[in-house]
Amino acid sequence: MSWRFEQIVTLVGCRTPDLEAWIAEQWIRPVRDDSGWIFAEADLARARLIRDLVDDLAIDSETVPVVLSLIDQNHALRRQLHDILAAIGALPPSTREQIMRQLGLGEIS
Amino acid sequence: MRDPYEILGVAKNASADEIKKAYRKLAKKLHPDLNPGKKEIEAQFKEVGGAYDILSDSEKRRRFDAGEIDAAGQERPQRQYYRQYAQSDDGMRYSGDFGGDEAGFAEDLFAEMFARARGGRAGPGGPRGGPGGGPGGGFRMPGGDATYMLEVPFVEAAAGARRRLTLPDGKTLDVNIPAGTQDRQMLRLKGQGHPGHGGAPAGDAYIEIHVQPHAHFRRKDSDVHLDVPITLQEAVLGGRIDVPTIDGRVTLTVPPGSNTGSSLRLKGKGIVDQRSGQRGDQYVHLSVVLPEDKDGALKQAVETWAEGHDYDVRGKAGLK
Repeated sequence: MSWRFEQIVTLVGCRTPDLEAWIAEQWIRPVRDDSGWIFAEADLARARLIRDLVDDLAIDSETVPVVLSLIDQNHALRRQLHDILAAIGALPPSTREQIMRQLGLGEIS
Repeated sequence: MRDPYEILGVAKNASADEIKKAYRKLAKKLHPDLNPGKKEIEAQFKEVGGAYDILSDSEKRRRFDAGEIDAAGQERPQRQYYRQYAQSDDGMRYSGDFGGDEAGFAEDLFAEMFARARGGRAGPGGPRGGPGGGPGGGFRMPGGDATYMLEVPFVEAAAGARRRLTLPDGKTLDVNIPAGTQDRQMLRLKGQGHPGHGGAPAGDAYIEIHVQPHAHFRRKDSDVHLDVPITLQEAVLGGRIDVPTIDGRVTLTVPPGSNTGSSLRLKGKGIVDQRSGQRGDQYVHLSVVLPEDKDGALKQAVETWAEGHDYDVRGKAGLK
């Protein structure tokens, strides 16, 4: 599913200048073609997150990029951790056990 | 749903400001996007949101206090949080910034692992290779793939087109949409994904094509279907009509006696089948539209004609 600018404004319940500012600040980075912005599901969910941060959590606009950056770093790390666990999971059982022992953990489920 | 005052942890006589403060405090703790690893927190956040929806609206709060409404049915609708997409390909556009360091992260990690392997479990002051410290420590890691989505009008997908896509980082991609591209088809642009590290090749870019439906054309396999209204005289007497195809307008001969439901085939005017390279056909489905008959001339003519011209249509259709 993909969305256009006006649809995002309606779905998120923000104002047009808000969304324009979020894009200008690169808090949300939709793809663009000749006819305008194209928003993916992830962009819609992110726009809702930004609205929550600003409206519900009263995070001021100076602080929003810090919060977003920390959230993004967290997801990047989670993905890397996931990749590493998947790589360990694909190793022979004896090697896997060795790694888990080294880390002081049990078996990866 | 439990008592909204209890959920927010405020007194029955709390001021609007106290309620807002209590909600913000809980929301900061419970917002699912601030707790990416905790699946179960979503229900809690939803409950808090529902409680706040009642207590932040003075009219709803008054009605709740008066016992006119209860907390049930005031819940917020289900919603998709960003965390569900953050590690998807689209979400990667954001966390991908830090993924630029992905290889660096892995490099540090492996350098540390090798240092441990060489010197046993390195304690403080033990032998540690600093980042990129070891000779030949160059670490090669190919770049990740990137996925984008592109909406394409029906005719462009059918006939083929070139589109320029501007990516979030300002880079542009020229996308060649081959004729006959189907909805949800994935195009691969080799080497146009995230850059590699240490001289390793870049990943690929994948473009998912979303074909916009057309107001008139419908696609079925490699054929195009189109409904075309015709006049009474064209139906009875035949005629030449102008119809659109995916490569422009063509003239089509309507044979005399064409009925609603008759289909005419325009050979080779359909869509290229990407597997066989063959082009499909366009089918034009006719429907007869009666005129307004303002002056009653048609009615008069048909009255005259109707004498001795009864014909059984419903019997033929098996409706009798």
